[in-house]
Amino acid sequence: MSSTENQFKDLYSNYSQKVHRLCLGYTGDSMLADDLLQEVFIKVWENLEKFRGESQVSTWIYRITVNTCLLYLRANKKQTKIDLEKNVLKISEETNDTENQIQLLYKCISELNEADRLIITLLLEEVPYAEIAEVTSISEGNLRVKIHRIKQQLSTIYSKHERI
Amino acid sequence: MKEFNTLQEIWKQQKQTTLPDVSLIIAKAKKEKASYTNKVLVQVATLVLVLPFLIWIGTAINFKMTSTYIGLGLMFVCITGFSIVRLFQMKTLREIDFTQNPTVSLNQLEKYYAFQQIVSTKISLAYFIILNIAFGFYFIEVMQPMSTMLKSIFLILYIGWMLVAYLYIGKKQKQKEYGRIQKMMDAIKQIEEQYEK
Repeated sequence: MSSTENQFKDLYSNYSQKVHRLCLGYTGDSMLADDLLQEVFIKVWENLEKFRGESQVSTWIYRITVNTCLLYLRANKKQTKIDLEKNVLKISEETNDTENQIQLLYKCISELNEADRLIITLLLEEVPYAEIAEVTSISEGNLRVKIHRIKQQLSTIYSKHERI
Repeated sequence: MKEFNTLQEIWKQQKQTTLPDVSLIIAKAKKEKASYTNKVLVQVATLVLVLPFLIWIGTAINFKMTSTYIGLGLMFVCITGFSIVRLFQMKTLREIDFTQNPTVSLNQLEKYYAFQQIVSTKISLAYFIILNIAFGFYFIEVMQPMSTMLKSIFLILYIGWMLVAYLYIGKKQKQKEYGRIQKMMDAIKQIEEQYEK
């Protein structure tokens, strides 16, 4: 097995879950998130040899994810009309409370604007501010202001849905 | 209002999802690369097949008029030139790096788009004109033995086909290519706008 394949396998095992959650936070659709995950890692595979280590590998992978998400949904807008109620929000008495809360959180994230969805998901994944700033090419100062606003927005949306 | 920390705690409670096996992703990535290589190979093969065919016509048939050779020469130049441009375009598009920050990708896409516009307008028009001049030269001798009726039918069909190819098929193809790139550029611009808000 080539060293590229080994390296790729390591990256996949370390980041696939995170990337998948990021894609799910963005699309709100698990099928789409699966497709996006594959697309992200195909790009990782194609560009692995070009990666010169100028940034952290996580930053590089998150950036690919963010770019792929934003480009993919727009290019496939017609086919990918998201139906959150149908695809993600399967809140029912059968599923447990934690699962309901997670699904509700995804629903609330989907109500944010596209870039905010990605930023907040990165934050929920505990990616440091400096890294989010690098991934999104926003200055750290500007990002802090944005994050403060998005956090408030998300908390408000969540509380609103929780009361219903 | 729910505290963000509480939301983060909820987020952390997610279970691991079953994801596609890594070997499946590797296989898919290899297949995509092969499919791109095949596209390039088809383009190169077309070029490689057409050019020797033109050379063969020019050498195997003893044409009497210089105009026929001029026609064949122009076709040769035209097809070689245009194929090189298309291959270059394909290579440039392939090299756009979507792993960079959006501004860099946008810059590369805009350069590609500008070049694509030159190809679709000036270069395509020049190709169309030169190729038709080439056929014009070639037909002078080739059509000589034909009756006037046959010549007329042949010319009507030829001109008709060229017009359909240029005005309909070509334009449709260009729109498709433009649309794809334009969508990507719009998407990146919107990404930047949203980040700036």
